[in-house]
Amino acid sequence: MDITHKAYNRVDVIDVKGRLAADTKDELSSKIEEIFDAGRHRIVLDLKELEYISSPGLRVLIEARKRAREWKLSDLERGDVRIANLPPRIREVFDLTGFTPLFQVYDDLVEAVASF
Amino acid sequence: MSTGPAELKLPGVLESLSELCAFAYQTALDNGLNEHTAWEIELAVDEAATNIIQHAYSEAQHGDVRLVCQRVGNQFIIQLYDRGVPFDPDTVPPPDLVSSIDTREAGGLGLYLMGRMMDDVRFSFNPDTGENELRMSKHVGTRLPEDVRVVPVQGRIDATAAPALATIVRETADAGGRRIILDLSGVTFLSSSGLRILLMLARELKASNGELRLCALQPAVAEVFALTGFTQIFTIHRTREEALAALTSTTE
Repeated sequence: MDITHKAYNRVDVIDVKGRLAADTKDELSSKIEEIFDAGRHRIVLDLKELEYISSPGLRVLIEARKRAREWKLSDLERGDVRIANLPPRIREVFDLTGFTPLFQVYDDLVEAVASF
Repeated sequence: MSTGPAELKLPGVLESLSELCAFAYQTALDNGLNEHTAWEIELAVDEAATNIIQHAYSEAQHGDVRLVCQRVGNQFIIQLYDRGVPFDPDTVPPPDLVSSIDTREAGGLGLYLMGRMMDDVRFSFNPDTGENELRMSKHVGTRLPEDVRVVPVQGRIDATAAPALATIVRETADAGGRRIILDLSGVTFLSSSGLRILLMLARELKASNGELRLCALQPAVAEVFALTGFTQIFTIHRTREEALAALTSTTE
């Protein structure tokens, strides 16, 4: 797995490439943790080049979104983890596991960043 | 198309995971499976090996993972062996596929995905060799009809679980799976509300030219069917493989 992180004004974007499985998930979860620790809670995961995901990777995504949502400025303004670009094979796993309704998924990165 | 069993033995640590996955994927391709099926095989092996590495083995108990993959006729068979703590699938909670984000728990997804990727998943312990064996098989070669889907169900089918089951079956049907096989091998209890929901789903599918079949009933569940006369109403198969074979042969 290969992770690139960019911090914009309001939003952090993590570009996740390759395989997200039991042996690589810690890299992503510690990056997310680092962003939370910096007091930032609006994250876009760009999964355009994510080739593979298994259940430990799914667990990281769910925990990340739960944690982000705990951060709340007001009823309208709370943290979130949103997804840009969901490749077919990843979408298939999302559909099988009932993950599709759990995340706001955008077809491109700009749209996802602008959604915050 | 068969190249005989292919075997790989590696230490039961996370560093071995990607190699086990790549081996399963490549063996599937070598045996004539398409890329999508090879990915399904890979995901099943990944989830199984992750379980072994994280739960069967520990700091205190090290050992190897032995992976054997082979094609026998129209079956692709995966066997994983370890010498760690034996695994009891009945202790795994059924996966939560429907709760909203704030209450969703991601437990049980690994075992669930193994069941979705493969047709049959069995755990056993061999007292002679001291090895745990996980055997998974998948029907390959003759393509399954596009509208056939297998939905594994775990735990209890009662008033509490019925709405989630109905949702999964309806979503499967909406996604093009008109003919649905419910694999009940993981179901330990079926209540009258559960029976009613099965009947309702069977009627709904029939109304849209589909059907609902059941397979792999545990004795307690089979008894409920026998007692209520529902055996007459549903087509029930002994195993998932038999159910798949029946639906495959009835198509042109």
